[in-house]
Amino acid sequence: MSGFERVIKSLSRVLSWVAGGSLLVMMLITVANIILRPIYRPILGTPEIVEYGLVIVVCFGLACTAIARENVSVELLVSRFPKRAQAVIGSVTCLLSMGTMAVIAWQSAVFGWEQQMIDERSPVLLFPLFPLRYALVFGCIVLCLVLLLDLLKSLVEVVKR
Amino acid sequence: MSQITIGLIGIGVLFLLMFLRMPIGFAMVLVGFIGFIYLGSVEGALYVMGTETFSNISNYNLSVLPLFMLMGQFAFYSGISEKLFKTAHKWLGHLPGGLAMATIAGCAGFGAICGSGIATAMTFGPVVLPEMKKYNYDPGLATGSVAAGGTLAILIPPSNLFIMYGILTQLSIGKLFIAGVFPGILLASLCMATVYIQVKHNPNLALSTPATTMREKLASLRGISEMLALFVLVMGGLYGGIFTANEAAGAGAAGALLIGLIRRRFTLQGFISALVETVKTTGMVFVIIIGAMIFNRFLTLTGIPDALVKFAGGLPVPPLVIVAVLVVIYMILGALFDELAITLLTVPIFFPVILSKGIDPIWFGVVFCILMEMGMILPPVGINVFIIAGVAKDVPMYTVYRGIGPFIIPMVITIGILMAFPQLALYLPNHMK
Repeated sequence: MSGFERVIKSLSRVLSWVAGGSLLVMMLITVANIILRPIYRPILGTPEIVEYGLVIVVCFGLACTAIARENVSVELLVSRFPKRAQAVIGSVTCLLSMGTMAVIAWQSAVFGWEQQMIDERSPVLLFPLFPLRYALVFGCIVLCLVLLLDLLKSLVEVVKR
Repeated sequence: MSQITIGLIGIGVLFLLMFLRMPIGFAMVLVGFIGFIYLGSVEGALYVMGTETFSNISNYNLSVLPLFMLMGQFAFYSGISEKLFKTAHKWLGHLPGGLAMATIAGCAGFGAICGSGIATAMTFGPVVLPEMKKYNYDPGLATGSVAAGGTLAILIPPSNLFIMYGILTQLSIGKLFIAGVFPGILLASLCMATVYIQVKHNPNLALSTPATTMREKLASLRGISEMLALFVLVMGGLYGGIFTANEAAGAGAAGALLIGLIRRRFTLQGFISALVETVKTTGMVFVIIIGAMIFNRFLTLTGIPDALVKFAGGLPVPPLVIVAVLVVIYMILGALFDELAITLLTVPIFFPVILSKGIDPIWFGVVFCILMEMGMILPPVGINVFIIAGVAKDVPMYTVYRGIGPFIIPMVITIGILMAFPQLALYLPNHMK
């Protein structure tokens, strides 16, 4: 499992750097627009670029959020249970989370395919929209892999004597 | 089964999954999805999963959140927080409980450039706790003052909760921000008074630090210049109508970055960490947003929000009674759940009630934020208490809770004052361009 874990963690680290770069672009384009607006002219389609950036930040950030265990959960009850019970509950909730994210990935792929077929584009800059949907699919799949890692760990805990 | 019953069952299942430690965002998506299948159709539910997720992660208005978070992170790595505390230390240190008061003042100052109560507590905890330990501060008072001080960041603009409240209710984020200024200053002052009274009453709680000369005090003011510059840039730009909330956030982040670069306080490592930390928090926030939006679609189908408006509208009680009931409900919810999730789940339900009773929505937003501040420190689930207990590993959790207890009083007083004098919150936004 350690090999799988290493791959997932490296992948999510690289993705978080890409997301960080995208965040920086969002900031820079916003500031450039503020500065250029009065002295020259506004940058065409700034909101579209920022939206594009936001999609990348969220999609590529999902995995590292999960690895850092930053997703908010209520510790109150389960942390008082015995270790094995915790592991059983953890496996079930992990599986449910994976299923949920898989449905989102699937639906995003469906929408992405439709947008690709009709060549839907953003209104001002005419960026194609389907790659963003596929970015979401990709982000959800990597998140599912992170959750799979958690699931495997919980299962090991369940069967451990 | 009536639709409302199904809605209530859905809420019950959601609570159950949350208490079973399922991440709140995923739990909301799951229950919302299954509930939508039950009340609507499979196709409809699948459609909601696809559209609702994407429309939120590609929402220009929501881009304001990561940009403000980035500003807070850059400000942290620029060392602005430490300087703020040092200045407050010089001015207040010699007073009874001066370091705890300086902590609250520092948190309030950092709150003016950071929108997250958690991040502010996290930033100040490691800076101020060792210092207070050195001066023999009671661990409860020391930890309580950081945990409570941190929460000020969500009332003092910029504030992540005001942003979410504004987006959900389509109110101006700029006006909400401005409305938080006076109540924020009032609450920070009352929290400092709470420290003063405690230590005056029981001097064993804290040693005084040596007094400083006026020259030292004045010289230390340079330490707040960076915070002030950023605050004036962001809030001045918003108040003057020069830029939108999104642009203010972008400009603020760039400003904080620039300060770090000019003062040569940024390492490459710090720069990357600021970006990656913001990405992680953004992921966390958006999972909750997506979850809440999908869950809300299900809730709308159940008719619960409409039923609630009709019920509350029919009650022959004055609006302030409704507000009082909401205050109690939010204190209970805040004690149990994450504040962002509460905002996303309950504001769409209660907001129509607020409007139907003729209560000023901006004023209520301010009261709401103070209630969420309370929720961040009330047991059993006070997130800021957990965070500070994590930083001060030698202090047991119940000591932090004991220390934080007195800070509930200034929060309640502030809400009372706001009820008596709504103008305290509304004067500035009513005079905004």
